[in-house]
Amino acid sequence: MTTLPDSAYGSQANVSARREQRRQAPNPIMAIGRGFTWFAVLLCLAPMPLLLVVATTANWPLGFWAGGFTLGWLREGWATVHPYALFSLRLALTVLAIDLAVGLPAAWLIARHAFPGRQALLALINVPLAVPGIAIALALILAYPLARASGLLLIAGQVVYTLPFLVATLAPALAQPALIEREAVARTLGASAMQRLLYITLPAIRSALLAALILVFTLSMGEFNVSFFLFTPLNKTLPIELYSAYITNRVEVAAAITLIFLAFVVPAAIAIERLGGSKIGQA
Amino acid sequence: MSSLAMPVLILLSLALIAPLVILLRQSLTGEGGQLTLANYAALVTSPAYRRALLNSVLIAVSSTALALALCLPVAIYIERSVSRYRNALAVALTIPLSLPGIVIGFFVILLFGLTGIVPQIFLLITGERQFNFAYTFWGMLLGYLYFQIPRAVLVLRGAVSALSQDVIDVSRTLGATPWRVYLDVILPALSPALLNAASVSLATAFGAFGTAATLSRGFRVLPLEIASLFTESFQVERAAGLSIALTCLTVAVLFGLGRAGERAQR
Amino acid sequence: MTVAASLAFEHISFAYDATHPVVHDICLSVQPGEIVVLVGPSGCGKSTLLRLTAGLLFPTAGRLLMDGADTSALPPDRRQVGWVPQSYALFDHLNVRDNIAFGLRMHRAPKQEIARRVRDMLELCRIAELAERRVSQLSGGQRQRVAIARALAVSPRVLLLDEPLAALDPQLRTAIRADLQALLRTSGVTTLFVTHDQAEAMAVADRVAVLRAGRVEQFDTPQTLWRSPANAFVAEFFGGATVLPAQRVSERCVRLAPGVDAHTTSAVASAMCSIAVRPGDLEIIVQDGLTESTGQFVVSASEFTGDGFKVTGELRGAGIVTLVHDQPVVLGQTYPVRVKTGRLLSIVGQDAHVLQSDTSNHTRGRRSS
Repeated sequence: MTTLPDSAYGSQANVSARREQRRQAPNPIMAIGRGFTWFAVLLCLAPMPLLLVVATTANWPLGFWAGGFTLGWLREGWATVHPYALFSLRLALTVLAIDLAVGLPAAWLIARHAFPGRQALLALINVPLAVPGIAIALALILAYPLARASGLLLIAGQVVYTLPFLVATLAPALAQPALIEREAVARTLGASAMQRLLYITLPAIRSALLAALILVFTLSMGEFNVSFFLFTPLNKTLPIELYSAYITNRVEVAAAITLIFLAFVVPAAIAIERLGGSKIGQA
Repeated sequence: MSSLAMPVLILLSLALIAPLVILLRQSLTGEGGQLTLANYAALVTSPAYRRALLNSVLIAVSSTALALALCLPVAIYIERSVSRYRNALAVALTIPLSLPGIVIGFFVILLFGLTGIVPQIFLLITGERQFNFAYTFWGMLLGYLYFQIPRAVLVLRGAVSALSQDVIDVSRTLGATPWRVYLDVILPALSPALLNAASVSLATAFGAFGTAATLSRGFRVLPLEIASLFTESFQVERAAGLSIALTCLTVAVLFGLGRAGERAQR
Repeated sequence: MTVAASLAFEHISFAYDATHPVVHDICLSVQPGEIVVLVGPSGCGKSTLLRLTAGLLFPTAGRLLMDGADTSALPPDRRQVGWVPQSYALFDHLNVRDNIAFGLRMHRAPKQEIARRVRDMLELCRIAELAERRVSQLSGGQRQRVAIARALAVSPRVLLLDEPLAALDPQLRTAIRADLQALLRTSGVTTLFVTHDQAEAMAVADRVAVLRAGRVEQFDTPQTLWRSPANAFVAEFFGGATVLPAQRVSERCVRLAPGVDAHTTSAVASAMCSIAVRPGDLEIIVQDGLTESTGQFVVSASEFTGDGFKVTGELRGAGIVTLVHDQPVVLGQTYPVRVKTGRLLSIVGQDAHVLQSDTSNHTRGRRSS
């Protein structure tokens, strides 16, 4: 028997009761958790403001804003990287388009159909999660040595590497029983397959879809392990340029370029989390 | 139905399966083109590669252990506290997920490099640079930890949120202290997730290249050796052999711990 | 000339795999404007029948007729049925108005037609003031009305309601049930209504089909089901009765236990028969002690119900029965009982015509015009 409603009221009461109880008895595990959490957050976030300071300090090796505050490094950094930033942007959009064209039907299939080989298909898509990027890159070069100059391998490598994340985000959204039931209702109301996709399915999965698109975009923008072996002077991505800045350039310029890179990536990361992306990373 | 699977099958067979098969064939080829296992044997026979393999395992295992120890309380706190900052904390801890390894390496340099903030502060206070360990094992360990934290937190948060509050409350009413609840109820319930988080962290650490490339000055790990074999000495077959070996190691860890996790769930 | 039934199942069977039929050889017919309730325990196949009607599943054998035409093979978007699943499955990205308009838009109805029809539905279901609300802002009862309005908007040939009250607060269910019944009567729509709750079935139905394990046990009016249950399952599940064996005493009288004789609703056909005993049928005799002309009832449990007590115990020589008593009783004690004066008890599964009526319904349907 279904007892949906009485739980709604009950759980509300439970939550407030729980809060009361916690306020009265501080729990040592939670105290440790709080300490560790703030430590982890500090560790994760501290580099960001530091980056800002270094990138705007005239002569960092001498200390904070030694030689004064400057935007010169940022200007210089942008001048150095903007062609690569634009290339990365174009590459990310290409990867996104291919991922979507290939991954959406695959996610649909995995979410909606029980067919022999379903597990095998899922495993195949997830192979790149287990194969180090360097091995994927090497394999692509060995298989298609002539295609490297065209930049096709770069696209192929990134598509293969990002596809599992797209499918892992979309398939659970498509598999929701409530969505399937809504599609069935729409069907009894006379909606054709295309109408159901447009008016029911896509609106229902829009946040998962958006999260998947942003995720693929950020992964592609920041991809290094595969790209490092596949790039050519004409097809050079932003992270590759970042790396050469780390190896060869002044720390201030490196910081400035990193800051420019983060401006592309961090807002996207926050957006993913906002879209309920905490499940996404578990792909 | 099969028409929906076609695009993905074509793409993956061309861009993944065929290349991996060719990589495998190359790894089994000797210099004269004969069939050989020498490229794999090098992992044991060559001191440099043996060292790199051991280093890879050492840093992966120690960073994973640290990440789990740090992130379990973090996950419990984020999922179960009523702090009004918990959402912000959760978001902050997912940001490193989208950072490439090289940027993480650079962060370590900014913090603990020769001109990093911590050594600079020590210079100001004590007149001497200290803790400038960015380019040592410890710097790499910190970098690895940095990219493992968000991954471990995500996996563990999922499991903590699935814990039954009733079970915990019942154990409290049966007389268990918070510590006993933690040890006897929460930890056993989370052990599959811990194994899962460990496998994800280890796999990521084995394949990590960017962080190592940015920070390594002498502490060589397997991906670095593969890269230099390929880009500097052009020993493609050996590079292929080591890549396949690294892949097998990663897959073995993912599967082994994944199976253990499934067993723990039952 | 005959008017065809709105909906008729002709020997419908359905199975996911050959060895486990979900429903088997179902024959039912629903007259225009009739409310037919499918009732049975969970897993009896009642929701499957709705899905078969909606075209979300296709029968493995048999035919489905709507208004006399075979629709067995029609896809759901061409059946013109209004399906309301248990969860209501409202489109939560649309507001109430757009939910109701959805089906009309899918059928490319003209704009004014859509506006008029939506207005009518909002009024019929008394949710006009909710038209611009988001679905997430509605209460359970309001959601139900929107789901029904959405289904009715396309003028369905049959409305399919799957446990429409199950998702509601138990305290509200009775009130909403009355509203729902009034709404169905006003709209005049032919309705197939699924529930596992016999009280709900009795309250709403013109006719009830009792299902068990994919088969129809009995299909008739609630009154007939109550008075002449076709078998022990129907008597116990639908009538809430205990079925006891009894001996024929005379044409209209049976003996349930030593000292307990009962008059029956119909003539007793054989020497032994089964009798449906309901809580209101027996009473404890207060004035006299135990005598030879009373039954012996050993109390094993007693529940306070407000009006009195619901007492369960063993009727010596018969079996476990439940009765209602207005005084507290002592557990373990033996009390004298008898059948209340004037009570007529139902004989279970005796009349051949009772069994007949569920297999020959579409015949009856055709005749009824």
